[in-house]
Amino acid sequence: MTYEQSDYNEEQDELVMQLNVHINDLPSEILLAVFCNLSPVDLKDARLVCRQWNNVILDKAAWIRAFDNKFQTGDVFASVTGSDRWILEYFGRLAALRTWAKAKSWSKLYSLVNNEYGQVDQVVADFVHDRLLTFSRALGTVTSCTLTLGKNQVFIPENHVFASTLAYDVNWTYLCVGKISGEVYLKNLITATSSGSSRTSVTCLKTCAEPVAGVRMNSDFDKHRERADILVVTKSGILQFLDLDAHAHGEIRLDDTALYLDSDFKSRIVVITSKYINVIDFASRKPQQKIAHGWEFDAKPCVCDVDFYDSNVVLGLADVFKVFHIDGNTFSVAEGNIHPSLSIIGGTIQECDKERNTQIAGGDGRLYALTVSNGSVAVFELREARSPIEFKTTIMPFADDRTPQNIHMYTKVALNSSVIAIGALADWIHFYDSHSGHYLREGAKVSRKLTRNGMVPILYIKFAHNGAGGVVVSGDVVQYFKFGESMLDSKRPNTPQDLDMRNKRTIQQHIKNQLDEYTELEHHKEVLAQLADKFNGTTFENEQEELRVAMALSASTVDVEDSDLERVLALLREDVASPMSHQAEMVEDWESPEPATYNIGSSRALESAVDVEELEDEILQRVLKLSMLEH
Amino acid sequence: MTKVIIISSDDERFPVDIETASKSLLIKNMIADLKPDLGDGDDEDFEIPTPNVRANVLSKVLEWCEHYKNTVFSDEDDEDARKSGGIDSWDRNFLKVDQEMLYEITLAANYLNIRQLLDTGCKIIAEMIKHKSPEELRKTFNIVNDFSPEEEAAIRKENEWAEDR
Repeated sequence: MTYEQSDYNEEQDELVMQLNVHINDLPSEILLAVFCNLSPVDLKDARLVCRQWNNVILDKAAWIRAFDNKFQTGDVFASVTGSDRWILEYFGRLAALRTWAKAKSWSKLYSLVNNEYGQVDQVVADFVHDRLLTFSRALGTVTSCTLTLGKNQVFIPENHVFASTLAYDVNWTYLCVGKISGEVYLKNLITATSSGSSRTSVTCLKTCAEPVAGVRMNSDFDKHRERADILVVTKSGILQFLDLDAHAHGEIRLDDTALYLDSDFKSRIVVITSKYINVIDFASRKPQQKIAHGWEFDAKPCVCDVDFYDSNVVLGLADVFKVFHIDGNTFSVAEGNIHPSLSIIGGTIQECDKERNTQIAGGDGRLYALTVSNGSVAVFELREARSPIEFKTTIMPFADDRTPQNIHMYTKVALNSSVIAIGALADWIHFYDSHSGHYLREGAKVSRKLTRNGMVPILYIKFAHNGAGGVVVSGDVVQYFKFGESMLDSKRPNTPQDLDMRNKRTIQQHIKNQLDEYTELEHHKEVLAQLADKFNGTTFENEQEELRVAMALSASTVDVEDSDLERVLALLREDVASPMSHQAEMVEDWESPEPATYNIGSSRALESAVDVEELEDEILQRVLKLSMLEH
Repeated sequence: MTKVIIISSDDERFPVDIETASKSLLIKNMIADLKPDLGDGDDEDFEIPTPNVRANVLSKVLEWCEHYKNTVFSDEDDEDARKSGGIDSWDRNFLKVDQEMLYEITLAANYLNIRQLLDTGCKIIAEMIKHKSPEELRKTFNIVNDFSPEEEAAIRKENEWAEDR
């Protein structure tokens, strides 16, 4: 028999009563629903209350239910945080969705110098090192620049060698193309761009007797050129291993028309041929499995992706798609289909760069999105797929009067563990929750002039792997967007982003520096005033003395313009949101301006000097006030 | 007008309007499945037994349904706002009941599938948990500490570790 004091309502008299229903009689999903309203701090205390509470807070099954109720995630889903703690994942997911849906958007639009039609076949975006590279197969051109601002553009013009290319792969150092005539060329992009280099940048690696169907390069290549870093597969299915010096490291005959080649350069190579999925062990270069996929392709199917981190192959054609899970020497297959009146147009796999870890919250799933001929996008979980594969969500994209005709022809998709972006034209891109399909927001605004009234089809969308942002390539126009964070430091492109800058100490240091500078400036002004007094009121002993004072005066004047003032203020405001440490630089910047012109002895110079001084003082006070307020 | 008669576990009968009863998704689906023509001049009343809800709990739940009879909840729309939003003052007053009643209402809301009431119930229970030490929580909810000292120490250690990250 238990007695209980209810203190939750203080207005009520404290009741002492017999309890028939105890809080621990609530089923665990309700307890969890209660706990989901708590902050992580409260939860830590709640864990210490009793076994049941601790179990509920740690219970995987209860959490899966809670996640499904809240986010419609299903049993296996991609984690936002990559943490094995469900509670962290819970708050992480909430925060991520909030940022994607609600945070202020910021974007930078720039155009590439590549070509006016914007033919882009492969895009490589590196958010850590802030760089972007595009390759056009038809023209054989490579363009690279900084990702965030489009600065330092490098354009490698077309070369007859790269015409009639059948297969290609590009990374930051090399471009590798396979031609119909059977040659495989390797172009060093570094030597190709440095103007003084006398080295030729193009090497012919191999001449095959037949068209080259696929090439793949290891982006983490072996500098000693001993490992096979290039894979080439010819039309008839001869897979060849090459290193960067064109030495052959063996070959395998697959005896079927090769259509697609991919490898992680660690464990496996996957070659999709007309009738089979060929799995080859990378280290031993021995065929591991040959799986009949049940189709007879005559070209690369519209859905064709390999998930190396969990050994899954996704294939799809017409209205059927299959997920093959390869496990050692066996495999399992799951099948799904869309409505028979529709057909699949394309597929997009969720970005992933880590081995699957089933311990993390959600079992570390990976999403796959199908683009369908009616314009909709269907999302399913490809890991642990079971027949029939069910869609987590089917999204009929947002439609309004600006929706382009035949939208499905252009639809491009990017997705991560929390959101999916569906876009077709440069100014027509929308974000949805990738698990529930709820509409979140429109893409960042783009300039209509640069995108020719928005009528440029999107060719590529990629999300940054941390933070809510990404890049959209539409032909020769690139949009870098970010939600929730303001503009990055425009002064130092190319430096890796230091994400832990936003601590209190830096901000305090900034304020302190500014205060010091202000006192210093005041001191200078005092000295200057004394000098001016001397100049105005007293006669000088000689001309040299007069000259010296005048020079000192004019040298200390500051050439401040309104635009400068605005810039400083705008930057300061931004800095408060994202102190990327250019605050101090900016202040320094206009404190040591270009020396004013020496107008020796002219009273006009003196007047303007005094005006400027007043202005400067006012600016400084405003700037400081602002920064103090905002901190 | 046709009524839905909800019968509590202790055989008390509660006749209510269809709209009121439809606040419960369970009952709404039941009507849709079994008596889709209910309310179209059908004089016969429709009886629904709720074998695990006591009469005084059921009357409270139906009071809530009656109050929100004409309110359309924007359920999926702004999930975020709904979850993080505060508790409606009417709800707060309505749920000024003893703990046992609160749990029973929450359980009934869960059983009858009344999402808003369940959410509110959970939020109120969560408010009782907020900002309390484990010891205070045990006292508030009359829970016996069933951890061994080692287990407790292990959890404390784990908590510290989580804090560091």
